[in-house]
Amino acid sequence: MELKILSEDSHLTKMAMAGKLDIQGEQAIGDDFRNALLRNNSNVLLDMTQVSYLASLGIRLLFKGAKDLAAQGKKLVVINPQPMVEDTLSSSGTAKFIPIAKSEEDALKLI
Amino acid sequence: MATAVFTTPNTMSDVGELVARADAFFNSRLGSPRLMYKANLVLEETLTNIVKYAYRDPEVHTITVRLQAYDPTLTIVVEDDGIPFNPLDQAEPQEKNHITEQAVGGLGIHLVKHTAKTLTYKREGGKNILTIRLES
Repeated sequence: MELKILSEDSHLTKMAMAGKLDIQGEQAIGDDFRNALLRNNSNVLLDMTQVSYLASLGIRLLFKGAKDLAAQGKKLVVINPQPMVEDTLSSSGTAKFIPIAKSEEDALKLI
Repeated sequence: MATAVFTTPNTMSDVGELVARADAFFNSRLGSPRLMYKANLVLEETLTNIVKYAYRDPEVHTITVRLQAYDPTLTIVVEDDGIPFNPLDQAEPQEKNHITEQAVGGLGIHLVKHTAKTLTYKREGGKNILTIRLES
């Protein structure tokens, strides 16, 4: 599992994840993800194009991050999840609270 | 039909290793990527739940997983000697209107119930035995 910070400032943080966001994946990138959110306290665009799998520990990571951002009036938007990952986001109820966009352009409109 | 049996101690890192071994079985025995995804999801969620909630002592316990692949179906049987726990009795997570009001976590069993074609539970010989049947 890999997390890349593509750009970051006080208004917007752009990140991309790649790999399986399972137990081991969450252990691999969880702290970096949380720290990036804390460091910038900005809106976040998270590109999930390369994430092939999402389990509840990964959902918890995303949801807790989004919830902390929401308390500061900020948003986390997920970009372009693969169909099964998007299905997991939807069936878990997470998609109700974390917007999903097909592109960065669409994601920016949701912030 | 292909079968496999795995055991793991009740720690999160060991469970992660078992899921990786089971994934190799799924890759070699299941033709459908969708079924593989579902198999990984329900197995990981079930085992994670056992590690987090089934035991109230510090001892090491053994969890057993039996897999039976008969494409396009897969049966997963998980046995643990933790406290009695029937996932079918668990209420669905309460959904709030705003993210700041929504509780974090508690989704694992919900995902298993949503993903499984059938789910049966019995308590036998001091063990929880959960049988999960999946279809692609």
